[in-house]
Amino acid sequence: MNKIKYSPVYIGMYFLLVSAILAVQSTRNGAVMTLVYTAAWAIIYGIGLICGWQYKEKGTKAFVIITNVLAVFALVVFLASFVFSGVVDGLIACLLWLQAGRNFTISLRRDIFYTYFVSLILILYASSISKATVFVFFIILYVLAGMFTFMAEHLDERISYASGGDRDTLTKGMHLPVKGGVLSLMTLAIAAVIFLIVPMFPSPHIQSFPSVGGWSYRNVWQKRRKGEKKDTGRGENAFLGLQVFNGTVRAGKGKTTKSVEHKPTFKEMYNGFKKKFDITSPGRCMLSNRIVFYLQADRPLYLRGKIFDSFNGRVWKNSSNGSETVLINKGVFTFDIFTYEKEAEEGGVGQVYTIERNMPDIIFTAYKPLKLWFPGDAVQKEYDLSLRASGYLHSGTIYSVLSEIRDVDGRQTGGWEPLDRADLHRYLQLPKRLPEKIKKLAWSVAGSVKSNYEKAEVVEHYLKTHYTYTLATIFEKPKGDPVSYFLFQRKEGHSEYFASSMVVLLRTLHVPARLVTGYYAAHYNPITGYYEVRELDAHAWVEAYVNYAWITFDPTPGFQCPLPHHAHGYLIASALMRYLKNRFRIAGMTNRETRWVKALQKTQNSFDRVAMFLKKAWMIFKEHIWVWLKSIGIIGLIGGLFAAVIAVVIHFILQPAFDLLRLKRMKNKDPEKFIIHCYWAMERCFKRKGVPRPRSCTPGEYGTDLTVRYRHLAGQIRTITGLFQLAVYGAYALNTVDIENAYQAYKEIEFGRHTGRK
Amino acid sequence: MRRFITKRTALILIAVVLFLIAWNRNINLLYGMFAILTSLIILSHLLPRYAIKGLIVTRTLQPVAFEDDEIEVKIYVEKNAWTKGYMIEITDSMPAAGPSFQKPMVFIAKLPVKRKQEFSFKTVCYKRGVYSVGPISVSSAYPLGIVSVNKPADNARKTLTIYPKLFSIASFPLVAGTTMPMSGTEAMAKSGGNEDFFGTREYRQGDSLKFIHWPSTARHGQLIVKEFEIRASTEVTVLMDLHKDSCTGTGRETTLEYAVKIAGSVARFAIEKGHHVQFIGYGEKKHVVPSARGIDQLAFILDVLAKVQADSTVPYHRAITMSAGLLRDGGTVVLMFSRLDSNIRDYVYPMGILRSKRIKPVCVFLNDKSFQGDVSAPEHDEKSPGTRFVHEFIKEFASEYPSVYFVSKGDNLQDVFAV
Repeated sequence: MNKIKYSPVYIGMYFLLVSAILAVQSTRNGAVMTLVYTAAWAIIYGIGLICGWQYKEKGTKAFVIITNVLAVFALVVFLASFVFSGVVDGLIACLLWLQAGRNFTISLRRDIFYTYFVSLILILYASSISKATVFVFFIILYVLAGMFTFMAEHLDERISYASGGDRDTLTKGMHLPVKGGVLSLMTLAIAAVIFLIVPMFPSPHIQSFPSVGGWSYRNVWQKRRKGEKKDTGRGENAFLGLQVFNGTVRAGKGKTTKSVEHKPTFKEMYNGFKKKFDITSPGRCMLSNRIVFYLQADRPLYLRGKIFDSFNGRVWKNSSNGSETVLINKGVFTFDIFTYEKEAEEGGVGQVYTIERNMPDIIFTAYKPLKLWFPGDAVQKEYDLSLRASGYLHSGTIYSVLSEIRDVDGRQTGGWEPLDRADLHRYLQLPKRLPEKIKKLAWSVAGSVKSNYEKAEVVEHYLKTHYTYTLATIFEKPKGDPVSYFLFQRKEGHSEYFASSMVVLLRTLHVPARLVTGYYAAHYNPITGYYEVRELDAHAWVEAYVNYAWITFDPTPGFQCPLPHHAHGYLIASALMRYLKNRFRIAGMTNRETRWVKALQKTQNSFDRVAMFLKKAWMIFKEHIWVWLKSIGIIGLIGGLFAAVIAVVIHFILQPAFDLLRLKRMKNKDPEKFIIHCYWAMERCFKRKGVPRPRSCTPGEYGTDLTVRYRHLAGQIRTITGLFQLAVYGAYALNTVDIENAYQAYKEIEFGRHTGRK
Repeated sequence: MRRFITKRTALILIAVVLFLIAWNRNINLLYGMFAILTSLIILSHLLPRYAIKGLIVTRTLQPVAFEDDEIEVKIYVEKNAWTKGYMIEITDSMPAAGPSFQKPMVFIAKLPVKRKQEFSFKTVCYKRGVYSVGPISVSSAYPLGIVSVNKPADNARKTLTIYPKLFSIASFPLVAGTTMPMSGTEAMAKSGGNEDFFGTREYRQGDSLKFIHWPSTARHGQLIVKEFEIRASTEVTVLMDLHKDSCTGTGRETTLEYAVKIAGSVARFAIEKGHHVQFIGYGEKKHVVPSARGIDQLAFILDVLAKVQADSTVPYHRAITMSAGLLRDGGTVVLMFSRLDSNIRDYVYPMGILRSKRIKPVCVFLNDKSFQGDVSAPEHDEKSPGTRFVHEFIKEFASEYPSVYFVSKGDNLQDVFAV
């Protein structure tokens, strides 16, 4: 058996395992706990590997016993974790403890492969569940540790076979022959290029959709109906009007595994998710950069949270009282929708949501949800297809939605949907004291347009072009009618002003419309592959009922109705540019005037200026210089110069072939001339290889030098040099055999072909 | 058969699997891992080529050595390129070394640019023979040992002659066979040998009349001859059996290898004592080193002994007959019998020729059964054909000069020939 001889192998294994554990812990815990857990494992593994080294040296039997005991312990941990946390947690814990035990008896080279295997499983698992950009650094750390281990293991293997050289130097102590900095940078640079250019084709989603997990939500509505409302354990958040039952949520297999002691208050939550929504104060969260949830989808989307139909000029509320409890059926919630068709399901847009921060009980979906896979046994569906869970959404909850989204004329719609007269009335409701000037404005903007769709389009365009989007107004409390204040006084504001104004204007024009609040999920992070939905992505937009369908309109400048072609594209590079630009924009918008943001903005501005300059230069060249060149016929000259440069380059590349061709032609002519040319060609060949003939060197000396340097070509070099000397200085008449010998020798020198000449 | 699951194939497989998972599940972090693995694979293919680019390797080693000698091979390496060389493996081909050491490798962790460096390794010469050492090849699997790039560095081959291992012989019955009354006395190695008076005895038939000591004859009334202590040199011929069936055993433990060692050691002993030594062996090619003295003669004989192989169709009794013409009268011939199941009748004629030339045979019987794995020694098993042959041979031909040696596999030859 091949024992490990090179001690850095143990260090490599240590860092490999610790980096993998760090990655796994980062996906499960916060920064502090990640460091604590990793440090604990690092100590355990460090002791184990030191003992492994001792075991290799002395073969201590006690370490074998420890290994066996820890193997049994790993099995127990697996069973315990399987029962209480699930099979994945059990397997991960089992692997970690098995490796911890194995470390005590690592002595053979094959044991390293076990370490590779365990660490690879850990990092793959962590990569598959991590959604944080910072995880890239863990991957880099792991790969660097892996490179170190590979290198150390390779050195160990070669040292064990070596008969001499640096063997003894390497086996003494921690001697590392390679400085890994440049190598690591090269690896990462090439990896970055590959990552940026690797095409990301549309995913087939085989066995990867839907995805559900994390927590389990009980059906509280059923209990209410049975008169169990007295259950003191279940609290109600009056501020939000949200049902939060005891903060207790249930995880897999229907067993309560975790109790959240403090009820979430969502003080900084977007006010658009409350029952009543004052458009003048959407909430401070509009400036918060914290990620709320991650969305996995093939395209950017509007994610609906709440729908409001009733507006009193300042506050929106939902006047419909028709909600329905939908029970799970065969693991899926299916919504009884008129437009539901098999084709719609097949062509539907799948979404996977991973909740990052505790959220209210709203189940966000893209309009119009057809199916929902949610970790609970019941959800509540409002009349307008907004969905609610039985409790607040706990961090770690994963659910999937299949939505029917039709893109009509560049806008999203959920398809045909009938609306009765009473509902129409609700969506045409206007504030009682609506200022007359708003009505006048509505008619002046779109009064002349006949169709409802065109009216909506005109109003949307008017708002987008005549008003400015700003977050500065979220702290302002205007007196009087806020819509009027926005439209006629301030003329700038946040998205809720725009959306409310549009609804009011449309309703004035007798177009049914409603305000929708939710998230604008358009910020695709190409590093993780998820849309990052942050608190500042909370947004309000409009749905207008046109042609028997609810069509999405967004009057806020800077917000585009997300369509499939706005998706991230095939290349990560372009998506990354967009992502970075967006991050800069957000950083500037949220007034984070930190140094690095400023520096990045400056850099971006510089790049923009350079790009602008180049664009302008190209335009000037195209419109003026090129035209002028064409007019004076100089294009031919430029073409000629370009061709000459290309010819020189080609000549340099093809010089060996040209030399050979020239010699082939000269074979039947003057033998002495041929030999001299043959020698010159050989000199050129070795000059290209980096061994030119010094001026002080005679051909004979040069030949001797070459034979020493190129022993495998010694015969060929001697042949050509000898014949050259005979041709130049000798009285010997060269014959055809000499010419053939010289020619073949040159071919072998130049092209390394063995022509069989002896 | 090459291993299919190498580090390279494993990494490529993992990269492909990662790509497929990343594609199926839209997990870009796995795309990132795929990119890093691909980057590693690309670098593992590119960097070894630069590591060994422009390497100039030469080797020096001694041309001659004895079996079991440890020789030092020096390798000179120079990197004639703009990049340093890392993790360079210089592999030589050393067929003279033991079966598992025939590809000695020098591992160079780091090689600076344009500076000639010397490395060395030691190897033990396993078996006698004439070997062609080389070619040298250089390879590198820098940086991770995933892909190894190999190229020939020095095609020049060098010849290494390994002589058989010789052992010391304390005494060996080299018998002078000059004219009587000197016959029968032990030959001593002394150049320009002289005659010293030793004593007198009765005349025997055949004694030369010139040695009659007339005063004593007169005194005793019968013919008395003078005896002289003879200091003379004799000629020793080592005759080897190179019939292709005469080599029994494997590797270094064959009857031929033992015979070669004995031949070389006897030759050295005789030459050190100042005798003329010649070597004769009828292999596929006739190996004859004519009789001569001195250290050069030993070198000639060892050169031949390094080459001889059991590859002929000439049986040993015929070889004795054929070589009889080359043997000087009264000399000593060392016969080595590698097969003990021979027919004694075959040797009647050749031994008769030797006797007629007054050549004294020293017989070495190699127990071929022991080389086949049979541990019973034939000299103790009287029923075995080998024992019968030996006994009959001694009785028939060597009774006058009982210079007989038995050698079995594993014997310490120095002890065997110390008797």
